[in-house]
Amino acid sequence: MERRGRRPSDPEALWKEKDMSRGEAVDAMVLILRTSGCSWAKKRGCTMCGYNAASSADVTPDHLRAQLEKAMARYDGEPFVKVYTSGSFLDDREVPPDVRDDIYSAFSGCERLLFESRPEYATRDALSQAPKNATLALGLESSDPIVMRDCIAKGFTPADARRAGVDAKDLGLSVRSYVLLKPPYISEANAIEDAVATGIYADGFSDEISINPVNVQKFTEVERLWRAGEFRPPWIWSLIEVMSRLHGNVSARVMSSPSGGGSARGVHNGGCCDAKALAAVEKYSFSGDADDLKVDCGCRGKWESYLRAEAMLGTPADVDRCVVDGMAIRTR
Amino acid sequence: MFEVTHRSHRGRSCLLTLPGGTLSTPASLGAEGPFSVSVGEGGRSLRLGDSVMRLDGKVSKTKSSGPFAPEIVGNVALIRMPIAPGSEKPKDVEAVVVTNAAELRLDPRAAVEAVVSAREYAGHGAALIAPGLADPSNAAIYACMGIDAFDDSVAAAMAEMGVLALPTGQVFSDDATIEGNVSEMRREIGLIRTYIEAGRLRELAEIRAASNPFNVALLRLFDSLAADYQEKAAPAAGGPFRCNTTQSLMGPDPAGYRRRFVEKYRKPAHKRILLLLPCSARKPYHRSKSHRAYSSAVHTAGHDTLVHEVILTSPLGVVPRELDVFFPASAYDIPVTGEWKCQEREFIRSMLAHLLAQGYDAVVSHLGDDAGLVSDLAPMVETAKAGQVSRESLDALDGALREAAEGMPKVGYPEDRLETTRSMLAFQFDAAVADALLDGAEIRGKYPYWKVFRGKEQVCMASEERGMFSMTLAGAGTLARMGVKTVTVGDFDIKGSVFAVGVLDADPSIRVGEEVAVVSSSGSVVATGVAAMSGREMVDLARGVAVRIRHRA
Repeated sequence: MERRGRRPSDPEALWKEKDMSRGEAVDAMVLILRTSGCSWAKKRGCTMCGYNAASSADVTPDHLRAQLEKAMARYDGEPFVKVYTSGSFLDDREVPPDVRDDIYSAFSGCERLLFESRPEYATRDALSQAPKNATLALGLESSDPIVMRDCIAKGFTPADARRAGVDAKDLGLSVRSYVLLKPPYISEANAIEDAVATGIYADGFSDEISINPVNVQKFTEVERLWRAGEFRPPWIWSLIEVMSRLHGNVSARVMSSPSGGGSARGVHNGGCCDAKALAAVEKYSFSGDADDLKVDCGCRGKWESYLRAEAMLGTPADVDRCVVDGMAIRTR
Repeated sequence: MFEVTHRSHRGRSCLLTLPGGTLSTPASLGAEGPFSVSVGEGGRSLRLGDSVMRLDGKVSKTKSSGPFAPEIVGNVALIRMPIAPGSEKPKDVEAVVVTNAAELRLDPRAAVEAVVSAREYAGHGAALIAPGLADPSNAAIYACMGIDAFDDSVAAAMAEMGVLALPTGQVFSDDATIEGNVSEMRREIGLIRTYIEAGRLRELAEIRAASNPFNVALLRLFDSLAADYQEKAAPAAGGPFRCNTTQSLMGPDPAGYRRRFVEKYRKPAHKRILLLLPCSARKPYHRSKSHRAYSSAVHTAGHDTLVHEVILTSPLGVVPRELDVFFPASAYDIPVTGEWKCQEREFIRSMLAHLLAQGYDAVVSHLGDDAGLVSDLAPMVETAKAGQVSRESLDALDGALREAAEGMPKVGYPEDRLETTRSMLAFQFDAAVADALLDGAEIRGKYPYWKVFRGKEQVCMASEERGMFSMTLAGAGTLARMGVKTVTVGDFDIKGSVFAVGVLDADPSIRVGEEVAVVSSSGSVVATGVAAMSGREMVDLARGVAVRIRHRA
């Protein structure tokens, strides 16, 4: 990953990774454009999202073209290109239509071009302008309207996301739906159930379901809660549980590529098996083979205890912090 | 139906009777039985007798996203902390349940504020139940703060985490089991009940506070943030109690004494020679061997009425001789080693400075080795150079007092007793009540059994047993006229005691153990006696003895 100074003519970030296209693992380029920012972040913002830090009010259409030019200089013909904006690629205020067209034509030759948008901008009209190699990435998050409103403050309903997904499919595009694992204010156990239900809901209009475990981003409501001990990022066991339960029950590809995995701010287990468990998640994301999700570690019992303990205490807070005195007596 | 059976400051034992059963507190609710918390698919269910209610939804906002409005389910209020300001409990609610109590374990300051506000919301007439709040190491502290019932969940969760839940703190152990931890919790609840019934729950809280830093902070912040809240439930009389930890210096009885001393006590005006004395282990001090020895050196001639004996002590700071039968001067016990903590030094010095500012012509110290504690506050003669009770020191004391009194006009015993009584009554009530009770009065009897007479009519009498002045009907008439410490009851004949159900109104400043006047709704005094509950409880509660009657009209 590459991060430059905060100049409006530089992309926020650009890196290369692997992703799936036409059933094969292929090289992918990820381009994060710096834009004037997410329209919802300016109004209220989601509880877990700190990406507006990547935006800048100074960005003009010319700056966006300059960013594209810099990206093209580093483009090595990867078959999969993903363009994110920390907001909505289809919002004309973020990415004016002519710049969007430039991007569409710059990557017209690749197998897949993925961009993300809130549903209110993914209109039939906007979607019909997109090339047929396009994938609409949707932050569906949860199929429960109450979770969407009270836990995430998403600013749209699951039905709004579904409408955009159905339209995209109808117009011949692909859809990748992001499912949030463990927004604030719900317990780990409820978060697992919610993510599984959301995955099944997404299956009706999605080619890919990407499970997105909440990580603690700077200057967010989630960060405030996490500092107060009222939020613990999900366990990797929970992520594996969700993926296992969706496996075989949805026709879409189930995948996850967590940010900050294994750290205190990201999806994590007890530290003993985090790397191993994350590797399993990644492997499954490409193979779709349920055997790849099988991980053995003694700390699975700790996760099960955690789930029982939070149920006993009736709180979505970090139960370890509510219960255990870290300096309690321990024989050496 | 709700009744308080025992009190220990904010801690108490209660009986909550609902259709389907009676809960006796303190208690830790288990997973089964008529009062229980069970965990099922959709979260916890609370059973209170015949009614069962869900405590958790799928979405649960946490404490830092409050405040939250209470939810009323029949005669139960479910509250999340922090509670919305201005929330008022419906009158018929007899149980208040804190549904997000586990989160309070994250922050002792939030815990103190939450418990106090939950109790203020619940009032005295409802049980306050906090599942998920306490473990065996802090149940006593939370009980002391005013929580009536807990559940086994934290102890059980500790077992899940591989931790033994002990009253002395946590121990990581392969032997931790839910059953073991729950039985520790139950055992601790039994101990809490015993301490409540002894009126000494505070001491158990002080012992438990040392178990971990959270619990230290919890008790410390409770004392600093909730002093008024504690003061309202502090008794005006009571038996012996111990001050063994640093935090016990800040407990409600010592801190309340020090505050009342500064606010209400005024020295007898005629006492011009201040004599500083050390405390004694035996209480009241005047019964101790050492104080009887000092007394023999003070009361050698008529100048003794000019001498104001003041005892320097921890944790009360300074105690004038005439208050030595008052609670808590008569009741505290503290280990004495000759070492003074900085807090003790600080409050002794500031209280003595407060007293010195009321004006003395001479200061004599019989403090010996401890004289250095205060010797810079005023010029003073030291008389205990060879130990306080040696013949040499007592002779020096006698000589110093005689010397100091030289040239001072004599004050007779009647005036001495009257003015000393005025100081005592001002401390017990306030200066205005003291003046009213003593208007045209004289003092008879032998200390500490001083009787206040107005002509042939006795107004009140001090006693060592009560540790204050007890009112006659005439004295109660004065209180009633002034509208202090007055309990208004319905128009019925008083037989044994006044019950809370019969109380129409009560002075909210009434503390347990205080002298009160009982008046009818027309305002005439019908009885006098001792408050068995606080003035607020008399109004809030529907059951229990409010006033134990001494005299009836």
